[in-house]
Amino acid sequence: MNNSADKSPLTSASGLWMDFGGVDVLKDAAIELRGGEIHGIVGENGAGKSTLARIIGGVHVPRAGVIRVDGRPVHIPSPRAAMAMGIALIHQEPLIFPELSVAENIFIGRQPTHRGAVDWRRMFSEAAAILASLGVHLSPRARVGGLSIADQQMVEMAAALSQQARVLLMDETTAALTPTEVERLFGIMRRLRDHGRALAFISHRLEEVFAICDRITVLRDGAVVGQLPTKETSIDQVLKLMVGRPMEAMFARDVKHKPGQVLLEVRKLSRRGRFQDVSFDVRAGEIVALAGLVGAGRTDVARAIFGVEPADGGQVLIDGRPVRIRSPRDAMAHGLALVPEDRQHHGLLMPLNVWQNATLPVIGRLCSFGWLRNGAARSATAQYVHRLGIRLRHLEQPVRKLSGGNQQKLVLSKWLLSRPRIMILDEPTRGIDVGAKAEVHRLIAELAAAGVGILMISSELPEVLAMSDRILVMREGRLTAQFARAEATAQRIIAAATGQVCTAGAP
Amino acid sequence: MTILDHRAPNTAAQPPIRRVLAVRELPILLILAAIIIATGIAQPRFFSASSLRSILLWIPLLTVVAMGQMMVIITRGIDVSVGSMIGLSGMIVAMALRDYPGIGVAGGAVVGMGVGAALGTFNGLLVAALDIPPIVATLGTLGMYRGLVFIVSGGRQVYAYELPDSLQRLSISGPFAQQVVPWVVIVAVVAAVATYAFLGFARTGRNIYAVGGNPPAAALRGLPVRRVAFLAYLLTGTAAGLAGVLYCSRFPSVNPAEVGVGYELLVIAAVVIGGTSVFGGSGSVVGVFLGCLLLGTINVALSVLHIPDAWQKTIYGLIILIAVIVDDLVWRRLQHFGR
Repeated sequence: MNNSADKSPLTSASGLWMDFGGVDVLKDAAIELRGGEIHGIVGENGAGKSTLARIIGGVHVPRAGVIRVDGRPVHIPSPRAAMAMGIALIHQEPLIFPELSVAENIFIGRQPTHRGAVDWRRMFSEAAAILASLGVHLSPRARVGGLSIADQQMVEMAAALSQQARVLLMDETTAALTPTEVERLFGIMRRLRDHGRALAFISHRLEEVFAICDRITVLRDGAVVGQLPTKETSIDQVLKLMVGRPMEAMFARDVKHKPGQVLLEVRKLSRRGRFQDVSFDVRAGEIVALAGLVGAGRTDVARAIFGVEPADGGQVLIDGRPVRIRSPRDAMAHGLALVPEDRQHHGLLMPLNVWQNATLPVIGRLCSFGWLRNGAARSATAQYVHRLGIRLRHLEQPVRKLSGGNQQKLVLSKWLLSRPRIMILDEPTRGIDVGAKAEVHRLIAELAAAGVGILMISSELPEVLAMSDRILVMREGRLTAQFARAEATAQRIIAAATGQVCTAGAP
Repeated sequence: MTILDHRAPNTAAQPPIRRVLAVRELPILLILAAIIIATGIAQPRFFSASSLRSILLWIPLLTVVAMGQMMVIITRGIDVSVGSMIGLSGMIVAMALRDYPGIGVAGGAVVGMGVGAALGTFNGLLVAALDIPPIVATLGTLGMYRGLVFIVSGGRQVYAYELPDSLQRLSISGPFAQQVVPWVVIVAVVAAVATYAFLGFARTGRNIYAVGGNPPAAALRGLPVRRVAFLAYLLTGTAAGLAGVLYCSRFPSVNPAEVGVGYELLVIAAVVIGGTSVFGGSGSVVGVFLGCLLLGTINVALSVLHIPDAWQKTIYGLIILIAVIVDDLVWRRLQHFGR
């Protein structure tokens, strides 16, 4: 690594533009990956880190931009093509064949053969040699499905190295590992670096990035805002670069009202492997934000409260009385509503039309003698469509034909029809355009003003700061901080979410 | 170095008892033993050469087709058209041997397997090239191929006396002394051994496990996912074609309304009882062979016990269900115990 500065990059990318459904996720991004160097890629949720790695790894093809391998411009249409150029993408969830052995996972499709038959003996010994060169103690005969995630990652790395990979892109590979496993992975990464390979390391955990990386690229909103040698920077500086964006024009919420009585109280809620000892309350008319990184367990808490995947420890109280919620049906009976993050899979029934979707939670109320009164269902829907400003051609339109923003408003109206007292909103504005965002914000504020208690999971800091009365921060399954509206700053929230002690102070 | 090594490896350094418990086929062996002992106690006549011979005659047809079906199910597919494929190729083989006896048994086998391969190719194209869900595609061809049996035969059956004696002898005589092991059993064993070698030692055979175990990963690793699926259906069709020949050998007449009817259920049951995961990615020749043996044993046991025909069918289905459930339960217990 001492002579990395004068080495030309193994792989570089510049001028990358990429969008998903019209939203730009990369704006003129660039990166250089040099042999003998570990390059950290950091940024907030949605900053474009993974997209950048996936473009180089052949998963996505950018709208514009140039990728070079050994200085020559290349087109990388598939992960297979990337691998042929010596570029391997290692995923957070390893891509393995659970029923096959370690050796076959490394060599599948390329097994050593003897007279046309797979030479098991040689394959096992070659796999053992590769694993040994990585310093990994794994039996080549072990069934991969029975290994830990960490070991499965090792198998994936061994597979990449057996195909002469020179560039390894590690996308959140430490997210599911224990500290010991992370140390072991770092040992292997250093060894690969010292053998001249180029590594890119994406992580939410800044302390890891500072521990292992030689150079750090900071992304914010899809653009590169800093590219620094680790030695010349600090965690504070990187944090500032990550969050230092101007506040977008955000819906200004009137917060002069006083929250009412406690509606929802959660005491020491736990679910093994997901989150532990989560306690908080939500009052009538209050918006409580649940901030944190993707994977911190926020959605799991919401699903536990709503009875989708019930907690295995702790208590939920509604109106001060302990309740047992074992299914979404129970939750709805207690006046709860959950607007999930994934509209496509959990929020809407795509092939059904607008009014059929909107009236699902209240279908019982709209029935006479077990038969749905279509007219009543349509007029109930029409009322909310009008109120929420949902743009559609007619109520019989299938919801998959609506835009993302209108779909989200429809999900909200679906739950408004059930007149909930407590609403849990999971990423209510993810993936919708700016105009629709403001309308959704206005709607949430109106609901709170009408006395509904709202728990809002959001990864968008400006939204969290603009909308909430209180902010809870989760990190790795635990509540790590709680801020009143007045004391919250973007840096404090990020610091609590990433496990940094914040010394940068409020801006 | 056996197939068991590849699937449940990791066992080399373990004490012998754990190695035995880690054998996936253990529960079904126990079930098989239980059925044999229970039937033998109820009707001692069950332990006789004639029962053994009945079982041996019953299983080859099933085994041959089950080898193909297993591969299809490992790739996360299913082929419910096998009964009609047996029927159509059996019918064509019978007519060919009736009208052109000169081609001989070997010629008949070529015709049967050729017809089966063509039918399997069509299934494979529907699934692998047109992305039609396997159950829908093969349900369609189940009906279509059955209709063709009637069209081809004009609705007329082929009688045993119209077929060459050499064909019938396949089910009667064998290479060994006393002729206890008829040729049809040898054919089935050869098919099973060939499948064993293919799945254990050919790259393409290994790809079948990989594609079924994790299709997206297989595609990302550059494996020919579609070609592998296509091949599984092609091989199943070919196996069904061979089974059509065995059918002509074993039964006194080849009737378009009977030939191969209902075999899809038996074949799928044998494959699943044999421990093949319906979620794809795992399955073994030894297990499926034991599955066939179990079904054959149950069948013969029920007739030895003089259980009325209608009841036989019901009990038969029930025992299949119980076998699958017990197999799963026992396997999980053993895994737990072996830890």
